Amino acid sequence: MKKLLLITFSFLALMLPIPPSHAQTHKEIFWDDLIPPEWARQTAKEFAKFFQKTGSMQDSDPRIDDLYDKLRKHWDAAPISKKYIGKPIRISGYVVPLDAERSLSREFLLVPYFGACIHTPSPPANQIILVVPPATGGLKVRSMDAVWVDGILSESRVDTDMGRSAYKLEAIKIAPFK
Amino acid sequence: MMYWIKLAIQSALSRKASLLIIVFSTAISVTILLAAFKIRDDTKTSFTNAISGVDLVVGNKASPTELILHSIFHIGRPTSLVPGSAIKEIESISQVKWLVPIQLGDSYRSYPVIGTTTDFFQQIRAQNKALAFSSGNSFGGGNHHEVVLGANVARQFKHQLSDKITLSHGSGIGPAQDHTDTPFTIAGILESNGTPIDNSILISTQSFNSLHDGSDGKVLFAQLSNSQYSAFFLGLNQRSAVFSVRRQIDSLKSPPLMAVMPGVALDDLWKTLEVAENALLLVSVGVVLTSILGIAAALLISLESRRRELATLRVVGVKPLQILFSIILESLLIVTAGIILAWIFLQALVFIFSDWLMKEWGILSTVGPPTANDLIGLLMILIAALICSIIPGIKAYRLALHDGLNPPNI
Repeated sequence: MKKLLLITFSFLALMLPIPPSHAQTHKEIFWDDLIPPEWARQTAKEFAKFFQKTGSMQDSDPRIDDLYDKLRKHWDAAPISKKYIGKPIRISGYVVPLDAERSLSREFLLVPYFGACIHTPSPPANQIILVVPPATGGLKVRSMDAVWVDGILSESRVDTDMGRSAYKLEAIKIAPFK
Repeated sequence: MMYWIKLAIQSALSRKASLLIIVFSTAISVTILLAAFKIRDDTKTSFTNAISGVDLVVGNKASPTELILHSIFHIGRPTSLVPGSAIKEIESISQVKWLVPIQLGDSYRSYPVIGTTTDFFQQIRAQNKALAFSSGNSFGGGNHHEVVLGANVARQFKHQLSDKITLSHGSGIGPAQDHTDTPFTIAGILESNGTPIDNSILISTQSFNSLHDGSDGKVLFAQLSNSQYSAFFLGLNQRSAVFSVRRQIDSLKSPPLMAVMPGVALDDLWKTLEVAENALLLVSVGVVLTSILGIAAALLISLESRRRELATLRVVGVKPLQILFSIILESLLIVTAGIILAWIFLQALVFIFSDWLMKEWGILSTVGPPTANDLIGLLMILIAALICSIIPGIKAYRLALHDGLNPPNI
């Protein structure tokens, strides 16, 4: 009888909800955390003078195009923040798939807003994360799915003349956004 | 249990003709369902296992889906050609790491010929693995006129290394379309990777150009002037720079180009196809439901002719509940026989049509064990048959009780 009780209790113990091990270690961060504050301040200062002038301009004004071009170049060269590099993070965003294959291992870009890069201007370089799914397979994601990604944030550097850093997230877990 | 199965079989054997028809009709409708499942799965995987490692596909401004379908899957008609001067423009964009040109338009016995560079074999990946040669090597440059065959092409025509083959212009249908004066030597055969590359013939851009500008013998087909391309595959230094590069290419003034992200274009395409896919599924579910109702109806009718049999069973001491059980067992046996037959039909169909599917539609279909989806579908059919057979079963239960040994209408 004692033995039976023991077995029952040990089974009960097994059935207790086990806290997911990554929940505590992966700090949830927001997209704003990925922008270096100095860069944001500098950008605001630099472009504020332009925006004052644009108020009176028409959309078709060539100066608007110039300004847009300038802003784009600035955004494409946006530096990354080192604050969370090498740290386990958890972030939510929208999926932009890269490869023309639909396997669990396909890499995708994580962006902060819906339709980003498809219908609307793409976000600054420091608001795009390359997500590398775990080797055991991630989630079958499709274009513009909303997902949570847990993983280690890293910096991907390329040594070319225009070499700049970008975010890369080695995913441990990819889950649908709920 | 064995006894009951034996009895059900014996009883069924006494009504062979009508039961055989029921089994066949079940088999045919289950075949349709399984075939619908299979076509859906195989189409999906055929589109799923495309190339990877390509960040952008560049072509003339046109429909992105058309460009992807043509350049990656070799389906549909070609979009207009991009002049070779575009290569320099694209390569000057700092984030571009490599560029692989793609020339399409010729064929070998209705399999597409791709004009490209040897970089193709280094940069393009299939299912996240680099392309591998099962024998031989990449084609040599210059005017060597060497080809590399995809696995299926080599298998289909039983080609060996250093065989000579003749390519055709366009789809290869019609007289005087062969590039007969420039035979190609097979330099390598690729390993099968489940992508459209399996069905292609790869030659160097130099060979492709010389086929068309007539530098090799007489002028045959001068429609393509020197170095024009169907598309370019691009790889970037940093994948996350894809938006920036795409915008730079889109804003090139001459020639006006379009850069497409293959993943996004494919997902858009798949969303459109889902409607047709679901319609196909709905129709096949309808077919199976009709068939199961047919089984129930047939069992119900056959009860009339089984009154005596059932009454006799009652006399020898069979309980009404056991009669109910035997009716249900019979219908399950019919459906199981139907399912087994359907599976054989399906494998035969796949065996007969797989080559044609591959050639005409680029869909890879192989004989194989049932998938999880198939099993769920088949299980649902069995459960539905079980539920449907309860109606005639209950009727038989009642008949057995009421009629006893004196069927009223005899």
